[in-house]
Amino acid sequence: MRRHTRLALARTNVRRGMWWSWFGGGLVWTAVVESSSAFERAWKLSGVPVHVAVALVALSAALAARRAEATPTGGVLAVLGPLVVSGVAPGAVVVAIGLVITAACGGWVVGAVSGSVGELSGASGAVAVRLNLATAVAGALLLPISVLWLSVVATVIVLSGTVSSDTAPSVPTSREAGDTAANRSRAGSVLGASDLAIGFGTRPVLTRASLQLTAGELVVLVGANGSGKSTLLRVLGGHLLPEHGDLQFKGESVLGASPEELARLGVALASGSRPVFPDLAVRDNMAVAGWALGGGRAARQARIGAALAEFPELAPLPGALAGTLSGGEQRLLALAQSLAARPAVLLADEVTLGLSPDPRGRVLSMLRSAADAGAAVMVVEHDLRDVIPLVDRMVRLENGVLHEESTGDSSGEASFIPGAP
Amino acid sequence: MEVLPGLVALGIVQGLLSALFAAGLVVAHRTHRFLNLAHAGLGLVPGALVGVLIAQGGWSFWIAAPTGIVTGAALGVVAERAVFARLAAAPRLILMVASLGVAQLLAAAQTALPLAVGGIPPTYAVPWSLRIEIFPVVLTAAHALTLIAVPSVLVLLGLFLRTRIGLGAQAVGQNAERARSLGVPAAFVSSAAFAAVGAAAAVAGILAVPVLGYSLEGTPGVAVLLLALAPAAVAGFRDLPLASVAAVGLGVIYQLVLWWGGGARSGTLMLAAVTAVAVALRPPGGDRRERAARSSSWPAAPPGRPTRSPPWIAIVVPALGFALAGSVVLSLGPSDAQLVATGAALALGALSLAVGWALAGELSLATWPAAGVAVVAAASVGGVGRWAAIPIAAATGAAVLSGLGLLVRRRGGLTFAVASLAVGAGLAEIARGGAGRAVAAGWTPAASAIVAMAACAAAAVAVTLLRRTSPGHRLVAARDDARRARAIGIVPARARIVGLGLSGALAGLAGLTYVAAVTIPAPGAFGADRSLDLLAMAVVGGLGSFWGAVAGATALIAARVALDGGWALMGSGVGMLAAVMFFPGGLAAAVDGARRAVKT
Repeated sequence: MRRHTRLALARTNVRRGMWWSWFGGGLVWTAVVESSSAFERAWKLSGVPVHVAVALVALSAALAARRAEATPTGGVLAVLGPLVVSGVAPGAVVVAIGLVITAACGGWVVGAVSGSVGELSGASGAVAVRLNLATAVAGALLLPISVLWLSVVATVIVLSGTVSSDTAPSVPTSREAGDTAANRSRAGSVLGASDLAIGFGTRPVLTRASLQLTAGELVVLVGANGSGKSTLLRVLGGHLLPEHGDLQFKGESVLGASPEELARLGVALASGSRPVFPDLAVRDNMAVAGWALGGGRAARQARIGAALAEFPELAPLPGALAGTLSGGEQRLLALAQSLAARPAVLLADEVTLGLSPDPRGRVLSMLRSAADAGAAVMVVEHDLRDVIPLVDRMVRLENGVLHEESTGDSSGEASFIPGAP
Repeated sequence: MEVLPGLVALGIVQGLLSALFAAGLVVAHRTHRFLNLAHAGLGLVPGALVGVLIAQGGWSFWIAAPTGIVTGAALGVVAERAVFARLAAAPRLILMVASLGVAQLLAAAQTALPLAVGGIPPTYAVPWSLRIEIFPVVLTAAHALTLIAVPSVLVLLGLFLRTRIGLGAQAVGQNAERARSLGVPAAFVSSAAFAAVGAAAAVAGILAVPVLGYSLEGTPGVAVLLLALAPAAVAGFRDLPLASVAAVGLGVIYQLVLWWGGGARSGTLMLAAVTAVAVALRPPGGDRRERAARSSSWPAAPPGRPTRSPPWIAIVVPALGFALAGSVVLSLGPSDAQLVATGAALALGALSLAVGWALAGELSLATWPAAGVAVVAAASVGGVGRWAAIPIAAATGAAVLSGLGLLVRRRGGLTFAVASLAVGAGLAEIARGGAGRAVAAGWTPAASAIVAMAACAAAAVAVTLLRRTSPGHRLVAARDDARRARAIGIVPARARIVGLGLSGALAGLAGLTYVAAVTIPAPGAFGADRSLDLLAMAVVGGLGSFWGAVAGATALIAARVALDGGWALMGSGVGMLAAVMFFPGGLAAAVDGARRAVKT
């Protein structure tokens, strides 16, 4: 796995277990600082060497956190806390402020380091979370003896391999969409996902989802309500970081890339829910879409104008607030925004929801045209009656895994008609 | 009438300074969707810095002023990155409270800056030889510079909102996920917006020193706050030109009232009245447009918390806690007991505010002044005994907040909060110097403490149980979804008034217990700014939770007591920021999380 991919995973796992690691880490960090003060008192040393030593320890931890891309600001602040606490500026209030900084930022640093160590050693996300929990427990129980915390961390890391293999999702035996796509045309893949896993709380949503989208194809993604279709699209769009797996754009790993980075690469996500900026006029909504466009201002405006011209419903409403448009008009506007960028990958999540038959048909035709123009288009739809004739293939998401489905399979089609179980 | 031209000129100048603050509030709201209470601080610190550079460092104004503007922009970016960006996904109310913490830090910095370099007040003048006398006002170069610079900055702010970065920042504020999907660099545009806001605030802060004089208080007074907040509220926190014009108009009227009305008290009452009337009469823009203007991908406030424990726990646990705390209070000395009594009264005030939110869906920042008016009413009814004062205070508090709800019946959310702050400022003037002592005479500190704690605990138990009953469910239903509530026969407007009335009744009781605790309330004891304190307590505790409000009040008061006076402002600011940043759901949510973690 690429380095930034591992670090991205480490970062998300640190965030996941943040509260525990913050709490325990703060205690551990305070213990370290306290022991430095005790050291100073016991040995009657001048304050300066101790302060320098504490600062160096804090700086090292901050750099470790920085390397893990966790909390650079917290890391820098963590340097200040011990300095204040250890008496650079005396006074109860200053010490109290220092303790707050120490507990908060030091906790972040310790949490970041423990989470990163857990992840980089090959532990799964769940193990990293347990590591953070262990940090908390260790911090609470072993406050004055911080060395023991390290031994706890080491023990958990050693045990993590076993736990990791226990908690790994089972490999599906059925034919998976990613494998099929790989066999068909891995070379032409624009956007690829392999072994994606993500869950919310204790509920897994994607367990090992793999997918290849190639240029010029229109793929429909189907699945029951709550099966994770929107979650998959949000992962592909960079809004959610998976616990496991990789995401590739034109062969390069882009896991951990931000949504705006992916948008500038050419990955556009259009969602049917909350699709626009309600307190901006239609024309301003379109102007915002210009961020993903290259070229000069004139070129951007020309492309935005051309995209808007495809939607006659929106043409007479340039000054209207987007929030005052009907739901269907808002979805059209969202689609116009996404198409303006002429994306390499278009992920459309129920963009036809609530549209009357005419605009719905036109939107589907536009999606087909975008694919014909070379984009890889994936749409989430529930009503497949007029979609099936347009798409190149259908992918079904079930139990967190993607399956290739024949577009001529009427039984499969029927199972995704709204109202069907 | 010969003074009219001079007063108008002065009003325009001061109104322009307010307009700059109001414009900053509007821009921050359009790009981040929250009320930035730290905005004045972003300007006052550069003002102090410029003064120090000129008075102590001997810098030229023309070098110091740009330095101050750059500092303001930098402060804006630091505040945005260090605090507001980290709370990006939190309810907007949490950001507002966080901005209160930032404001306290900035106020401490503004006060400390001149003291750290010699203690000379950093006053300065604009180095132009200009003096125009328009009786009774002498206009100087600073006034002239204000007339030139402020409109220019207002125009620049307006243009900024039309730029690609400005539009991107507004898009991020309304729907961050969608904006990022379209390639908008959220961190950059949000920081750029706050740099613009900070720079504009700095211009106002730098010009305010030679025009209005330097204030060592650090925090702006309620009148200054209202002169900026009121126009912003009138403009719905979105219309920059309207906010600017309203600010100038209000500045002129304020000056006229100060001259003919007999002083600051009349000015504040006028501001309260004008704001309330303007907000109440402002035509609504239609349901959809209103919703569009208010909406963003962030919730406005934390949701109400469902009750999980059986009813007997809601009674037995507080009773045990009260018995324990009461026995501790009996062993305390008079001054400590008085401290506990004051804290319990403020906790009841925070609970009152939380009730207004939980049952009426409104944040009333008139809560504490309403408590003051209730105390005055109870005291002014001749010959009332101690216990007879209770229903009078409760009824007055209920009437005041219900009346406010009726007055501003077509407005909700932030606009209601600002209107209530304005009305609260007026009520505070009415409550100032009220004869509260007559009500409370004769109580020992320990007795006051036990009564205040008992009132607080009983009120928390009562509202907790009320929320479980059918009337409580109706109030919550009306609050959560007025349209659906109407469909099942609930009248949302009535429910809102009832919820606010309940909140007001508790505020009245809080006022009574407060006066019993302090015996002789200070003239500004029931000031409107205290309501912001109560809000901070309720949010730190967890606004959706009644017991959370009590816990938040206890935590913040304990933190302030632990810090000595000079550091109280900074300590309070740091504490508040730490609380909302690490426990955005409040102490109640943290306890809930720990309980869930233990269970799983």
